[in-house]
Amino acid sequence: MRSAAVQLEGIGISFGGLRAVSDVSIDIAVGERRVLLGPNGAGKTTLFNMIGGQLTPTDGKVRLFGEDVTALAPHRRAHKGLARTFQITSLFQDASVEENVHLAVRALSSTRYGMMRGAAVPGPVWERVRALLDDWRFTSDRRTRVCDLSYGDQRKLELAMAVAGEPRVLLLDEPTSGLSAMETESVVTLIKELPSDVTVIVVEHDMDVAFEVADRFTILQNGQMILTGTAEEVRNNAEIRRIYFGEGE
Amino acid sequence: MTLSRFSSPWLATALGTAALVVLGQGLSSYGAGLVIDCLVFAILALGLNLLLGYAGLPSLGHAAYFGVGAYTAGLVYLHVSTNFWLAAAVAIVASMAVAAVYALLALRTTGVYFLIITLALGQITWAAAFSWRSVTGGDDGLRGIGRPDLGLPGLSIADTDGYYLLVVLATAAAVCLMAILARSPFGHALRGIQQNGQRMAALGYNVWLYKYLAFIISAGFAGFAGVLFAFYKGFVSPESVGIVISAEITLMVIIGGAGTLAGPLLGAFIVMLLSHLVSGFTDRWITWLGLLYVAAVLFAPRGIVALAHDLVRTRRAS
Repeated sequence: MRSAAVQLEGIGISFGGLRAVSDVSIDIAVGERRVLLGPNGAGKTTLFNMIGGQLTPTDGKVRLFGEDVTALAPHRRAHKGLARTFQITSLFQDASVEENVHLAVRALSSTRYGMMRGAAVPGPVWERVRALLDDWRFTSDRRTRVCDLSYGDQRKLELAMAVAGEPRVLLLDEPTSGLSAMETESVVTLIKELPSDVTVIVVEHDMDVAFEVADRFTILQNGQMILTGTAEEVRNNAEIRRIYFGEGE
Repeated sequence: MTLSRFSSPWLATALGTAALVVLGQGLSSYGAGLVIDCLVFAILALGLNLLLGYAGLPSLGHAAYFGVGAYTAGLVYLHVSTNFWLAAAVAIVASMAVAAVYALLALRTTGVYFLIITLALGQITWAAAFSWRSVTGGDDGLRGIGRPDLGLPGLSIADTDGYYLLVVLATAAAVCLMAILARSPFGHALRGIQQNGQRMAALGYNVWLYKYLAFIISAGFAGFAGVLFAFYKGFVSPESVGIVISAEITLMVIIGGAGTLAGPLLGAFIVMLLSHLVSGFTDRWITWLGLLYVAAVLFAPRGIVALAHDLVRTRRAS
């Protein structure tokens, strides 16, 4: 049996009187590709923010490789191998592509607090930056400012920055939203090509994309988990058919 | 990295320092005093810029650390030792220590609340300077501070010429230190935090700690400026801890260009020279300061340095 990379034990969160997520328990195995499905407002991003540490759950526990990280700050989780992208592209718009990747690589380097040596001084950090730019075909654009990149390339850069630190768990919040069919396909390929020991959790609205990348699915509705299962189980679930395929009523 | 990007701040600092040294030969003692004032405030603005321009934290109480530096230097001179380096070191440490405590409170907030709490902390410091009569001399100020010894044979800062040279070199050192910081991974991280703190945290940066360190370092620069100020004037009054100075240095950074190395220096010269000019014919300097602020927001919201960059860029493009 594979051990769990991410475990949620009955987590829930309230904002004021509003119960956004309640009593969700999920086990996600190492190397698993899990897609979170559910209509808008189902609590998918809220759940993501509790795994990432942007929000602290009001009840329940979040475990990362068995360790309780419920109250751990986001940057501490990053150092434990967790990386994420955000639903709204959140890159450093005024900086160049190279500088964005540099910030991502430097974040996990012991030199991140360095005050005396220039950040541009060659070394292992920059070797990694160059390799990433090469891998993700950004080398010719490396001096381009992010705000001058196409939207598709910005999403790609988000992914490149998320994998910069070779994370063990990767959270992708709607990685294909707003992309053309061709760009979507290239992002799907990039996700599928991630190393097989990386656990990937994806929030995705596009069912074609979801079925292509996922091993298993978790379906949320009104802040509650209504199903965790395989593609087959999802296809046969009446609720899902109603939400996503407009059948029944 | 291109050669020009590497060399420009060092070259500019060297040229600026040389120009000021040469200029100093021909200046009257009034003129030299004016330049000393400008440079002291340039160091102060340079420090605030680390917080305001790089980390994006609008401190409106930075005169507190300037004042702590000035009073501490004066007290060391009067009661402990007349050695410049000792007084400077103790004063800088004192400013940073006060900042280390204040930052714990201020960094619990962001945005306009940060501005208000730093203003409040600044006023508390002012009140302490004003009412702690036995130590600070209250509203009479701390008097009788003389020029300290550098402890270096043949070098004296007792006259204005000597002091002018000291302040020019001190400014050059402060600019170089800030240039090193701005280029370091620490400086890059601060700019990232200003743009998107949540993203930086998700990448693995301890955002709070970066802001905390920036706050303390920034206060160190302010404290050093306070030392130079106290030994130049020979007295320190609660005015030097007050809100007017805090507002002036904020304006210097904004007018010159927050987040640039040259901006705060330029801003300091503009505000200080204008202040001297205006006070020649009216008492309403604060009104002028307000007008200057409105003009800056309307015509150069990102500062003169950014404005100049944009002009050069459009000219090259056309």
